[in-house]
Amino acid sequence: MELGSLYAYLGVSIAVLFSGFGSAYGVSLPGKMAAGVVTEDPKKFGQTLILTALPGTQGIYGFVIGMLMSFKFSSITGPIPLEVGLRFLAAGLPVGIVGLVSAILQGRVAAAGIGIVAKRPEESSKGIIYAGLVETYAILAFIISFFLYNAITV
Amino acid sequence: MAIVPMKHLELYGLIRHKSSFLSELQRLGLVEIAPLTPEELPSEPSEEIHQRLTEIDGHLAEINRVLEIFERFDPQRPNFVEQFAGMKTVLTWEEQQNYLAAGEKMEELKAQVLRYEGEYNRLEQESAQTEREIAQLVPWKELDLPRETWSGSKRIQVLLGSIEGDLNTFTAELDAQEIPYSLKAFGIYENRLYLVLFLLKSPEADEALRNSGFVTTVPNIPAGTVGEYLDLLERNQSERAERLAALRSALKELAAQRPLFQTFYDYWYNMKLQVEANRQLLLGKDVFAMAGWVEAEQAGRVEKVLEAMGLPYYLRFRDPEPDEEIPIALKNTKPVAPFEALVGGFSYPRKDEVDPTPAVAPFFFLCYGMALGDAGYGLALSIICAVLLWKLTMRPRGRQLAWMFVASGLGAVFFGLLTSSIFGYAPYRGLFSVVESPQILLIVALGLGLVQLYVGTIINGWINIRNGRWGDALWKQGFWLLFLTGILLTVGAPQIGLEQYSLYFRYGTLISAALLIIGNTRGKQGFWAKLIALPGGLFTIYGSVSFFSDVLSYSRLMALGLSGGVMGSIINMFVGMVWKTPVIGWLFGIIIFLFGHALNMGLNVLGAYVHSSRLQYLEFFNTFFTGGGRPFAPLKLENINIFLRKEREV
Repeated sequence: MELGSLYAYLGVSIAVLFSGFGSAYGVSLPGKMAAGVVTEDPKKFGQTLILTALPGTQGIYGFVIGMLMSFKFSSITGPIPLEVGLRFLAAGLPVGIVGLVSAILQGRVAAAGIGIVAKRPEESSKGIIYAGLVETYAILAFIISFFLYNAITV
Repeated sequence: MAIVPMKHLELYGLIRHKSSFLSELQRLGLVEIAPLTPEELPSEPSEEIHQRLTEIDGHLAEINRVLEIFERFDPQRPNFVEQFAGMKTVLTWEEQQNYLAAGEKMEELKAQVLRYEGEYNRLEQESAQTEREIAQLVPWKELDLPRETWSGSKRIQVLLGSIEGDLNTFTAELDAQEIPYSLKAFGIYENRLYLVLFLLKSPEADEALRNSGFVTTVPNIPAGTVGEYLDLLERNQSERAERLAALRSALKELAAQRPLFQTFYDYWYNMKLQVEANRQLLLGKDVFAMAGWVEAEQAGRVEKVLEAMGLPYYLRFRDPEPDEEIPIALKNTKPVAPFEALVGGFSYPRKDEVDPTPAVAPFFFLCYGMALGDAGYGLALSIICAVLLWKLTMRPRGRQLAWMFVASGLGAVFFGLLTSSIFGYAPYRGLFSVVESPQILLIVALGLGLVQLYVGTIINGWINIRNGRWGDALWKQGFWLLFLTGILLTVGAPQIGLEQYSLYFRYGTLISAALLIIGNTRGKQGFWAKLIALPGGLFTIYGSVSFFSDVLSYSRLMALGLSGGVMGSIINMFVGMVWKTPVIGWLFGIIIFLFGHALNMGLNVLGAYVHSSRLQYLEFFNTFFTGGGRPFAPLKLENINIFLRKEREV
């Protein structure tokens, strides 16, 4: 395999792999707590579900970037030049790595938010906002990944 | 269209009428009773109120216990929507009144339920105990010696017990010692062999037995054989099971009376609120006094209702003093009012602030529309929320939120139609395509941010003007806007073809910066103080960095719109791929379409809500709004379990 193609593939897998791992872990944190809350009070399923789903978005961002990148390089006929391959790799890094870290940290905030749902359900929207704050940085990384991807000309 | 003006209210009446007044005020639900000041507090808390509250708490605890029992024997199964919205019991007014009139029946049923449950628990416990007893006796089931013979005869001892391990090793041990014996083994239970042993009474035999590892266990039965006693126990057990089943079904049947108990729960809950309000009354010898707040518009209605009661009273209204803290209620026009929920989620304004709702409403609408960005999703969201509003009973706050999502969904319809995006498809050529040229979306998002933050700053200036601080409005907000505009024009002049003026822009920026720095010295006394304040002005200039980073924060709208759009088109691509498969391709296509878009929509609806609110709370409110007002909380009838049908039709 050409080195260029290898790097391009790596770019896609980094974007999807890391953000996906982060989201899976991030969702598991509030998920565990939510299950505990629901054992006590099954009526809180809806509110806890929202908080649990929040750290899942990083995985989506990684997936979107990964998909876009694989569309782009599958449209290339012939081997991918080394420089282009490296650009794919660089484009995958922000969304992958920031996604990994931010999803885990967001998961922690969301898990704490589950505590709000358990004790003061009427204030649970505030927990959602707190968890949303962490996501900002995943969004910024997604934007940059997207523009890096967009700048790759074949 | 703003913060509702309040009037202070003072009410005097006879102490013996105070419950009637409180009950009437609670029914009316328009008056917030102010707590007593520390000087007004009676030196010792009223024994009577305390007693009444204890009594009410007792009622509440009992009814709650009954409701818990119902939940145990006949659990309510919330449907999918109720998982989120909670379960409510909806009654008509007549039904509620009928229930309230059935107090005696309620008490009767309550006693019955508690009695049944007590019996149920007792039987259950006994049954578990018997179960354990049976388990212990089962090894001896085949022992046909009655209890009376177990003591043995003069020479022979009868030993009941168990050994670990092999019977042969055991008998070999006895044989070796030449001790005469006879035994019968019953079988192995939990690794021990149970047997009955007949043995000559002698010291040698005892010694041999000790060494053999034989453990005596005497089954605990009153008389007769173990088998007979086991039969008795099992008969008892099946009788218990029958009784338990009967009690279960009886309680399940009684659970149909749940609304009756819920009605009384709400009744006592509201009674508790009313009695607690007693603590806020100032009591004289014969007269009580009460202070509180009422919406200025409703003052007349309160007066009329009190007059209609036909009891002696004295009522006085006055406007709030300038430095008095008043409770905050918001009132807005119909399209804007739902967004009060958003403001309430952050904080209520203080009385010297403005109600930010009318400013938040259009911007949240646009932010949400851009972040969700798909006409199909938007329409689905609006329809779902509209159906919920129509079908479901909700608290006022829930209704507001639902209406807010109806409106916000329309924002997404608006934006999706502009950019031609309906469930990820682009059926026609829109103004621009989010997926193909996201740069345009980014510019639109940042532009919206800039406009919103300008509006926020202008509102801040307007608050200053309204409060008579013209100077602040000019020096702080006026020059600040001038300065920001200067920076924007200086940087952006080449792009908008105003390059020949760029020198003016630059000077304008510098002059307004200088004015801002000078402005910072206002209010400082003396030359030196003013001089020292100058460097502080530089921080104001530095604030422009945070202003523009706030604007950049709006780029999240683009990211959300884009990721949703791309996800949508990927789903559609999959649908297109399987669609071509012959025969069942369309079926899989439809499944992928529905499932994929439902998931994508769910995540996007959530993300758009979180991030659009955040933009209001952090970026927008930062420019003019701090909040911290206390929401108006009138004494009123609260719905805990029961909702009246008429509220649904409002």
